[in-house]
Amino acid sequence: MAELTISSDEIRGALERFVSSYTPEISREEVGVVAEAGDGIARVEGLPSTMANELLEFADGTLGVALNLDVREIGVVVLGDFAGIEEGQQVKRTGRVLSVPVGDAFLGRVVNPLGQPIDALGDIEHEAFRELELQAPNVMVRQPVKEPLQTGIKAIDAMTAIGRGQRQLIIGDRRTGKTTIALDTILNQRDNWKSGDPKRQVRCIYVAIGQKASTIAAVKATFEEHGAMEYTTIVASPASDPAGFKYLAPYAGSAIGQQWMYAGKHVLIVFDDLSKQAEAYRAVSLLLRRPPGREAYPGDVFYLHSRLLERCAKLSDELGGGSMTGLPIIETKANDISAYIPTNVISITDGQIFLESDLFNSGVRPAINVGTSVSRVGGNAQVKGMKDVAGRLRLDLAQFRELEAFAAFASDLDKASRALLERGARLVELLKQPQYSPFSVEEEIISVWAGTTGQLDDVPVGDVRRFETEFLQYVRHSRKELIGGIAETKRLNDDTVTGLTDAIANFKKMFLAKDDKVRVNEPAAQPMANGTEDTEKITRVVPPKPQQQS
Amino acid sequence: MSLDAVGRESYLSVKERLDSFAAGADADRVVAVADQMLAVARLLGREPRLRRALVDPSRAADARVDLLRGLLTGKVDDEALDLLTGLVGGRWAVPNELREATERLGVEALLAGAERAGDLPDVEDELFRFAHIVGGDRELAATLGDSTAGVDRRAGLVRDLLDGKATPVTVRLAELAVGGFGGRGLEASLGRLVELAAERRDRTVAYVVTAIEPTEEEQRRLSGALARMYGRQVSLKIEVKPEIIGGVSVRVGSDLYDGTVLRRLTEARQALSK
Repeated sequence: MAELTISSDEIRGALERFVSSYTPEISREEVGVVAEAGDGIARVEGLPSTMANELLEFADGTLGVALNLDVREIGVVVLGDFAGIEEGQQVKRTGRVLSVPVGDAFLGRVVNPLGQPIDALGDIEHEAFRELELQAPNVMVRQPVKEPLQTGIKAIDAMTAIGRGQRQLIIGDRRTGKTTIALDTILNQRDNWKSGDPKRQVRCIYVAIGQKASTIAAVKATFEEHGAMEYTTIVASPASDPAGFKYLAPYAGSAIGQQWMYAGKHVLIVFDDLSKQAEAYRAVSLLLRRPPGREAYPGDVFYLHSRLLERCAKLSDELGGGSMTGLPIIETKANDISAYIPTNVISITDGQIFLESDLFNSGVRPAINVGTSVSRVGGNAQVKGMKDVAGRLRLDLAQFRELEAFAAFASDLDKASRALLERGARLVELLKQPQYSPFSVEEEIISVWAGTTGQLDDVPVGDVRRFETEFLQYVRHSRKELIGGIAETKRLNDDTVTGLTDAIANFKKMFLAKDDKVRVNEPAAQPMANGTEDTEKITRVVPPKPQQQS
Repeated sequence: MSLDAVGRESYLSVKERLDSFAAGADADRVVAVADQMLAVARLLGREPRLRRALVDPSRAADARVDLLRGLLTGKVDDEALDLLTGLVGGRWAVPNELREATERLGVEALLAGAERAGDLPDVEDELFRFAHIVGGDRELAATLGDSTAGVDRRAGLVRDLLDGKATPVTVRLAELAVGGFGGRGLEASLGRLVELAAERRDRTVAYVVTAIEPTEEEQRRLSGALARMYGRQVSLKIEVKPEIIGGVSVRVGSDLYDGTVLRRLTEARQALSK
């Protein structure tokens, strides 16, 4: 083999040619100058061709969103650390309107409002970028909401049913179980996900806005523990994030969801919570010197929420029939749902679930106030069987609440009222449900059927929950075909009703109950008339002394 | 200046009048008229009621012009009065536009005076150097930009610094910049004045930063290339900054062509830190 010889001169020559052929490429950029910076807001001069909502890059690599386009300057909200931004620094355009990466790889991940992973699980491979400020689907591409989205919570599925594509507000004071309802709903989608049927599967997005990072970690742990993380994305903007991030987080979440919705899939998105988003937006607006309105919120705070929630929709069949269901959460102060932000969001959404602290503290959990909670989609979003059995439930409970207040003063009640009270107390017991234990729709139907048809009237109130659990166990083991029948047809036909009546009668024979009847204001004790008392007489019997033997 | 369409039209018609006057007068005369225009601009800035009365759309233009004449006849030269009546006779959307237009017209007149004297390139260059000096000295920038000190005192400081070193027009423009030209800050005002001077010579300003002083030949090539790109003559403002290590960066208006080694290093650092 011939020796390969290259002289050092040749090498040097080749390297010189290589170096001299290097032409650094320079592209035209548009730059402006920071005129003022502070509090997460920067005012930038120059950049005449900036677009609304365009991302701008500061000298230290931090990004910002151009929100105010004024005559001579641009109001920019800094996304990220604003300590390194100083007056006089150069600002570049990126040419990118605020957008997030989207795709199926986002399932099971925790991301920030810019779509960047924050769970230390590596990069996320995105399918596309989606703009945050996209208009909602118009009238022609929608269809009415009629497919149910089961929350697994008896009280909600029976009385304020949620349909796929609906916006249902969860509203209540702090610590009344708002987040729990949302989490339960996400956990309940596990069976649908396991089924592998794209018509049933629901992808979930949990948007945490302004919450403690420890709370978000706890939510994630709950999802992982119950196997719900694999079909869930968490968009996290904890309390430590700057206001710009908090206000964008819901839009980022809904952009990720919209990508799936337009691909014909079903999506559930939880905004926890929108009152904190409104506060973050208020901070940003005041710092940008937009005129403050009521409660110092800017004039477009209604539009802030309406354009976000309008993106939840049920698409027409031509567009694949995908849906995005929204569960916005609003925190009230002292159960006041007529404050500014609550009334705004109530008027935007298709119904609300109102949670009351008094109910919560008296042990009614979920603490749903039946009178104030409504679903404007209502029966359309219920399976047929549930619609049949739950028809009277709302009415019965409302009457019960009314009578209960009345019975607190009245001493004597007629038989009908007493029956109503007894029934109501049992229904309230029946609708109690511990957290993270969603019911399947068949079992919900059986439970509610038992309550509304009076099957529980002879079960003591304190035993109702135990009776329900054990009865469902009994049906699951001994009368499997009943559950199967309901699951298949989604309705309650006469045969099933006969079967259930039969089963409950059998079960009652085996059930051991404690006696604790409700005693409704019994008349106060009166002194007894003289001479009616029975008195025991104690007489000392002295045995006769034995006769002394003489 | 931010004039809307109506204001711009009123302004441009008077600016033509200024140009024809400046073309036939000697430099000192033009500068004197410019000084009077700027004095009137300051007067309008002080007197909001006068400003409002002079742009009142419910009064006929003649009545407003009469008001102005009554106030200023005998106090300013006829040429200045002629230009001012032209401005007041025009239409303005808001009172402040009249003040801004008067101020800008005064600046244009100053630059026209420098043009007549053949000093315009010097004025442009001196303003740029002055802006550069102010930008490089924090204490000076802070003092000149300190809004708690009176404009007169700060303008006096500028006069002390520049007297004898720069042309009189430069000194006047720098004093104006201290008070804020069109509501801008000091450095933005100086930058805008440099641009206006260049525009008067039908040129665009290109701010060039290099690590070492470029040769005449390199400057000629660069300005030739930029002139081809922008379709008009380019006036280079060169700044030597060793900290950019190598390469060159050119900024024309809002366009930046950054080919410096420093930028590449910064980009590499940001890419690595992600």
